[in-house]
Amino acid sequence: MREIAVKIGQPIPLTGIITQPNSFDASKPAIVILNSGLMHHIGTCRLSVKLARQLADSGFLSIRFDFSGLGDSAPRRGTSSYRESILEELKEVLDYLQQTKGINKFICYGLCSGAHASYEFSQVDQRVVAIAQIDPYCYRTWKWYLRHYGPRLLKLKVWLHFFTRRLKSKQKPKDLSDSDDADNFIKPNYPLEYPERSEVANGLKIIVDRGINIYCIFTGGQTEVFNYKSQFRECFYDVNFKQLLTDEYYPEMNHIITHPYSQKMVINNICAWINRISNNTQS
Amino acid sequence: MEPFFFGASTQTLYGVYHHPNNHVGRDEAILICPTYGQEYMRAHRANRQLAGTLAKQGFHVLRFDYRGTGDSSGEIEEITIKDWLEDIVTAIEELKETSRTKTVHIIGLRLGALLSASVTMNKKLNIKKIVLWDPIISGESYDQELQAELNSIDTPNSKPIDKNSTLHFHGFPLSKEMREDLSALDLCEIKPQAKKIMHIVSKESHNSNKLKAAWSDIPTYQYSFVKAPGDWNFVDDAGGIMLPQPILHAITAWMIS
Repeated sequence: MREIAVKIGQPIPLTGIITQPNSFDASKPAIVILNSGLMHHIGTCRLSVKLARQLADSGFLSIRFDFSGLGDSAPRRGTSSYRESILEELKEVLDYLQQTKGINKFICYGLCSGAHASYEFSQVDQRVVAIAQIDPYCYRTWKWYLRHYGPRLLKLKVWLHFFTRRLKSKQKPKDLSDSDDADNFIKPNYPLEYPERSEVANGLKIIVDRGINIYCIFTGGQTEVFNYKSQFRECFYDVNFKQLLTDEYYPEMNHIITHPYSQKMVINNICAWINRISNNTQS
Repeated sequence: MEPFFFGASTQTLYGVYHHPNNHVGRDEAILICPTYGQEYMRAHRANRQLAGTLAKQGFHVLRFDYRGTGDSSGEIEEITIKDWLEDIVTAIEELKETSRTKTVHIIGLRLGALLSASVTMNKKLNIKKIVLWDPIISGESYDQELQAELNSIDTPNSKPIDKNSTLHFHGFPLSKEMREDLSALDLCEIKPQAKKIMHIVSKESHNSNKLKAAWSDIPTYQYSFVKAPGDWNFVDDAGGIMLPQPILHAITAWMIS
């Protein structure tokens, strides 16, 4: 395995790290590892670095890079929206690998906002053959409400909290915009609100129609939107995933996957899934 | 920004070199020694901005990752504190070679302050200025701080310290060996070998006062309290990143003075 730092694009380049296996095979898909939130390219708890190195052990080349303004990539000035700029920059990265390494197939992987970016990009770039997502877009179903509120309705503490919150909501909220803290924190520039469910369903239909494999891992860190295994399939009841979707739910795992056991499991699962679908795409 | 790998081929370190603004004509270089764990993640943006600002002021600046962290080689479970101390020396040598200057300053944040101050005890390195930013004053107090933080969080299914005495702090382990090695480091017991020392804190505490008292007889020591957010483990709901501007301004001003 060999790692090299690269600068992609002009005049303000994106910084990336290519992890190349000892026996490089350009016919295999390369894995493009995306930023999660404002975290730089090493990923939450260094997950992206560990994933890249294990993928190299399995013979896959990967790149982890920073979108402009994040991590080790300087900001680019322009009028593009967040969505437009991530699509343009991802295209630049794929073009770079295609030109320098001769790779034509790609798998995009991301956690949280990285998962959202992989979903967006796979709709528009024909070179993407699969996406692996941790905590991607998902929406509440009636079963979610039942599981979330059912046990709570019987607890006195929850009712007390409900009334206390109602009382507090009548008080004027603290305005942080004028405080010193506003200058001392950087807020994410990606949309914090989910798009409409129907919009994501339409996007997923495009992805499935193109035969793109989808791997979704859900953690227990997003219980406000996800709380049972089949929820993804059920909330997108109008999408025919055929045999392309693999979905898993690990309620004991938190959103940034801090536990060493969980980290190992996620990396092993992603590598196994990539090996499997890579064999299918090559055959 | 120039990202690159350096050091021995079996123990490569990842670094980002910031080219100086040549119009200033300053023949000095600065090494930024990061902290560890969630603090490292949260401080990355601040370190990048600080490096960029100092480069604009004409300094050669190098940021880097210790072995077992960031993009550098190795797994954290295999790394010792001695390795990290060696990494700082390797980074100083790399910076001297890249910048072709002999005048090197160090900025160390949190654990990076404790480690870099310890490294300056080697007089051959000839460090001119050192900034200790919200320093961890001893390995022992760091360990206690991490444990106290973990104990304040309700995590029924996870134990902060496993059966091998590894402390797991929000996804970043500290092995028994690392914890033992760190416990031997105490800023109050040493006097950094640098021509000028700045101890800057965003929040005053028992520990900052203790260090101030211990070093008060060092003529080149300067203590500075600059009010700014300093909880490097704090993460808000929206995933915001800390950028304590008053501290960054104060460090830059001191470096160019």
